[in-house]
Amino acid sequence: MTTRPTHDATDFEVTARTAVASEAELRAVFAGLRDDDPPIRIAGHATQQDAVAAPDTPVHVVSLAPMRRILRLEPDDLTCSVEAGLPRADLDAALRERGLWLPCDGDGEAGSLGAQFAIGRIAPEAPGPLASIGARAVLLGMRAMLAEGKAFASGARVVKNVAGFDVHRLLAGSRGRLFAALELHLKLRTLPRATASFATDELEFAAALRRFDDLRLDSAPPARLWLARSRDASGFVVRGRYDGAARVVADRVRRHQLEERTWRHDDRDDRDDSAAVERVGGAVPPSRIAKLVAALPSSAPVRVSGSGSFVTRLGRDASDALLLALPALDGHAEIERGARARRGRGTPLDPGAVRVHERVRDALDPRRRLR
Amino acid sequence: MDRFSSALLERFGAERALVARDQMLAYECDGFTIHKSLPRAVVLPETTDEVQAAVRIALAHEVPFLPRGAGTCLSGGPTPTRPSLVIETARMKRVLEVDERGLWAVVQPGVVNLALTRHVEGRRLNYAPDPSSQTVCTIGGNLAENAGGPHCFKYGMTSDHVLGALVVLPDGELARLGGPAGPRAPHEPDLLGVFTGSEGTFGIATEITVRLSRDTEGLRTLLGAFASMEAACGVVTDIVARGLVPAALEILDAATIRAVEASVYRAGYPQDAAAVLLVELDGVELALDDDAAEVESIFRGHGAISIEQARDPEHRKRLWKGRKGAFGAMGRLRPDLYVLDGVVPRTRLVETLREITAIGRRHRLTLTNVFHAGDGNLHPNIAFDARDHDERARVLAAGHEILALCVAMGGSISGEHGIGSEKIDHFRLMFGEDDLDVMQRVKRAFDPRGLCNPDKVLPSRTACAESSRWPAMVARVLDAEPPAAESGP
Repeated sequence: MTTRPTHDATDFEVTARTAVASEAELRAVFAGLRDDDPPIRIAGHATQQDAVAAPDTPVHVVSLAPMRRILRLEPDDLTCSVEAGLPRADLDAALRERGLWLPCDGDGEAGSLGAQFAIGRIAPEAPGPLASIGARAVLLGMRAMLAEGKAFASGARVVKNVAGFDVHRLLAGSRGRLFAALELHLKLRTLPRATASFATDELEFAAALRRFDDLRLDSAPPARLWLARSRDASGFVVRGRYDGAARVVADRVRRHQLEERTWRHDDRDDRDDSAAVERVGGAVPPSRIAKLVAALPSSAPVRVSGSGSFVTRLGRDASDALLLALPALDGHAEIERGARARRGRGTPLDPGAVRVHERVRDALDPRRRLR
Repeated sequence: MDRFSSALLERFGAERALVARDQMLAYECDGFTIHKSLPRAVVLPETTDEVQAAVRIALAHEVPFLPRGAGTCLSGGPTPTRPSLVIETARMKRVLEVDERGLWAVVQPGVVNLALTRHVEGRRLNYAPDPSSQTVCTIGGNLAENAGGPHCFKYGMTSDHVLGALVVLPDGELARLGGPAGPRAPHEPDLLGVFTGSEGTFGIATEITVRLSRDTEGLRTLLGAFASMEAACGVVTDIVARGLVPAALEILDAATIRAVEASVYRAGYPQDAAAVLLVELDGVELALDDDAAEVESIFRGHGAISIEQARDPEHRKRLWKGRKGAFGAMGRLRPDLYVLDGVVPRTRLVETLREITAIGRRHRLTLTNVFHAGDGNLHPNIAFDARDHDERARVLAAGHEILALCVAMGGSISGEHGIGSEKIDHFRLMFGEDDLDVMQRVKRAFDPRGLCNPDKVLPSRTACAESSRWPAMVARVLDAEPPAAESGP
């Protein structure tokens, strides 16, 4: 375990950084906390520290990055257990060697799996049976620790289980403010036998949406599907990927008159950290994508998945307008990147849900040691 | 008449507030008939407001309350453990909204699972979760129990298909968790995720937003008969390893085959087989014949005694008839049936089944196995006579040993039936004191007064401390009056 004072790298004040390599080391950090010590911010590899709401006080960052082992990999059972600090890209590589994959987005990212779940970015993109359910589909169970130092388990290591309350599901979107996840039990799939990536040329929005919906509502939809307008473009493209049996993949590409093309999301948008431009992420029901796009400035870059999750980049006024407009579309969103005071702002939450969330925080971290 | 009953009658009228003993007999248990207990009263609300009113009346009189759907649960979830108010949601059976292009629907909790699929089938849509009781069980009950079913292997559990819920919390207030855009906003934790499967202990869902799925183009249903359970399980392992993702992988053992074939659920299964494996493939028509041929080849590679592929919908219905009627067929063996529900890693199915057979022999019980092989979700069935106290005690002791075995194999004490009151004494096979403490805290966050379906899922701390006294349930059951004969699940 290493601890060092620091004041760098983020736009919020960090009093110290500690990297822990085991459950015992994390417990020791928690046990050493005095009432007047700064609260703890749990981190993985700190790749997303500027992509979630900043803490309202100086914090002691505790990184789980050294906890990066694959603890168990059972190819025949399609399950594995990993330490929460394992980078997603490392797991993807190990699984690929065995002909397996973790069936949700975020693949190839450098950040840790624990952070991917806790920040809530994991959501299968497919418009098929698992679309938009997110972490629930793949997170079978976990071992975690409360700020008081109590370690606990929830869920199981098998693919089907309803024993006990599924406390592990609270990890998704918890942002490390309820507990620190230590180990994750994950559900895997075998790699598809064939894949075909495709992308259309730029189309007018109406034509692109028709194409997108034809694919989305097909009885065999693509495993990944996006409708996107990049920053410099006037039109929209439809991108996606079919997974499955070789004959089916080829048939679907032919039937929908798609052109096989590799593609990448326009990452420039995500890397522009100009405080004047904010990244807003959220979701709408996929039948309301046209209304979502209509609510955006005509030049705003946006990409929407087949399940209705979206990312866009907007100026502050446009961000505020979108957050106000989304509840009427049954949608929700949050400012993911932007100035410190703005990050974490989102569409208003249901008061009853907020009350339950506060009670859950009171129950699991009554002294608010986790921020 | 007491004030509590008067308040219910005043609010709901005599037709929808049941307070007489003979009116409440149907509510004294669910499909787990070993545990029976009469409620203090039953109400039949039709709206969210009425559910709120019922909860508030219960709170005002310090009476425990619990929701109930169709009563098909197999673990005692909707059976009161104390004199309680049962809030039955069966009259809340309207489909409130369907968004065909958004692929979601909002339903009241009393909508029957299969009725939802019937409601949308004209639009080539369906509701994927299909528990065996889908002709009668309700979406509200499915949500409370996180119900599974034969097609979980490909399509997941109820939790994979629930997007939102309007919930009457145990303090009588409302909370809206998730919605058509997804189960949670990006800046909140997955409260709906932890609510799903909380067995009616975190509140009562009165509107549920579910995902709808597009119908697939085609189906192929195959039945392989094998001379050993090892061979049947080996087929399952090979199918999964090759990257095929069937919609269902169901195995019946020899004793079940014999019971089915001697019953009205006769399906023509080979009676000399040690196991039959039912494989259902769905998806794009173009690929299904190839996939079916590959499955047949795997069957042959494991020495299948016979292979049958459904030629038409009627034939498919016949192949499924034996599987779907398996529990009912057990009625021929003995008057009562205890359906267990454990999970093991799929690769440990064979050794687990061998041990289960030994446990049955040791306790001199009639034990059969029907299971979701793709998920490793076992349903050992123990046929018995509930009037025989000694046999009942052996049934419960064997059940405990089987669940302990599942945990020892790296599995779970429940794959889809829930803990309820049935497995509350088995909880500590899987979870320790600290796990229990954290779960109790989450329960209190939803239900600070502890009146919402108490004594379910989590054992009390005292019970935990006394766990070495197990089987506590055996003692409880033997202290109680023997239950009357039950019907099958």
